[in-house]
Amino acid sequence: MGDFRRRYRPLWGPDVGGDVDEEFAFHVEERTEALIAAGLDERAAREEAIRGFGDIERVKASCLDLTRARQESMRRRERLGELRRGRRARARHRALADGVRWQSSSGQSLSDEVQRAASFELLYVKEITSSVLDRLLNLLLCNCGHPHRGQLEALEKKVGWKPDGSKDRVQASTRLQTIFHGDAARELEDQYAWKLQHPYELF
Amino acid sequence: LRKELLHGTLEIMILKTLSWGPMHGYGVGRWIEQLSDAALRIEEGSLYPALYRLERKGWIEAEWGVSEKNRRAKYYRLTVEGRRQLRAGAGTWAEFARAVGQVLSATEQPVQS
Repeated sequence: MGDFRRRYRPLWGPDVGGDVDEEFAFHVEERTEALIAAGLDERAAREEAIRGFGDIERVKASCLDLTRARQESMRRRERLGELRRGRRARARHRALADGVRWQSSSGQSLSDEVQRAASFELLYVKEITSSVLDRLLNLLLCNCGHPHRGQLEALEKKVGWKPDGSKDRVQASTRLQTIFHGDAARELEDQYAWKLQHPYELF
Repeated sequence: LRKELLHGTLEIMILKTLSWGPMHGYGVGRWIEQLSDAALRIEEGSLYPALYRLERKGWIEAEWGVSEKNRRAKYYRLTVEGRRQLRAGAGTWAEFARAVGQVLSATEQPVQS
């Protein structure tokens, strides 16, 4: 590949064919030198170095096919990543907007911890409506104030949260109690793992 | 089976050579040759497609650099996944070689069941 093309390669993307040619040329040069050092004359050494590739055009085509396939799967992964990032960003923005609306209507301020938890939650919940978010924020805010069990139950009743079974209820309360009392990040990760198994449930 | 076996063997040898550090295709071939006391000479026509296959699998990655002789060369390096595959593949290969060795070194006919 020429110096000019190499220098301005970013302008027109990678030259896959040129790269393979250059890589093979390097190999031939190195092998030719080794064979000359071993006693062959230059012409014989070069012929022998090229002969090692067999049908060099077939080898090159094979390498090009593999490179194109790799690039295509990389592009697919990037597109998928962008899609996911976009969806998460939209969810995050919606959560923050809803959180701010809730905050102004309730007259209460959200702690950083609650906001962070709500954002974190929204990143991983596939679908969440404003009413669910309000319940979530209520529950989180309640717990952030270190409520006793009765307060928590009252709030859960107020926001209309009806867990399916007593086991779920205990699990949810325990989870709420521990989120902000221990190591916040670690607890949120635990919560996230549980959430993946129950993506449409609120705790 | 034969093609898969050959591919697998070559790939595991390439991963092993790259476990010592980044190297260009020519160097990989030379290392395999040296380590096998010249018993294994990997034809370039097999070596390069194997390197590209490994790169596609994500077991190695490539980057252009400059060789000791100041030539531009494409250097391959092992990825984390490649290192994991090397560990798994080396174990499987050792088990396979031991089993084949056991069959070939047998001195008594197996008992008919």
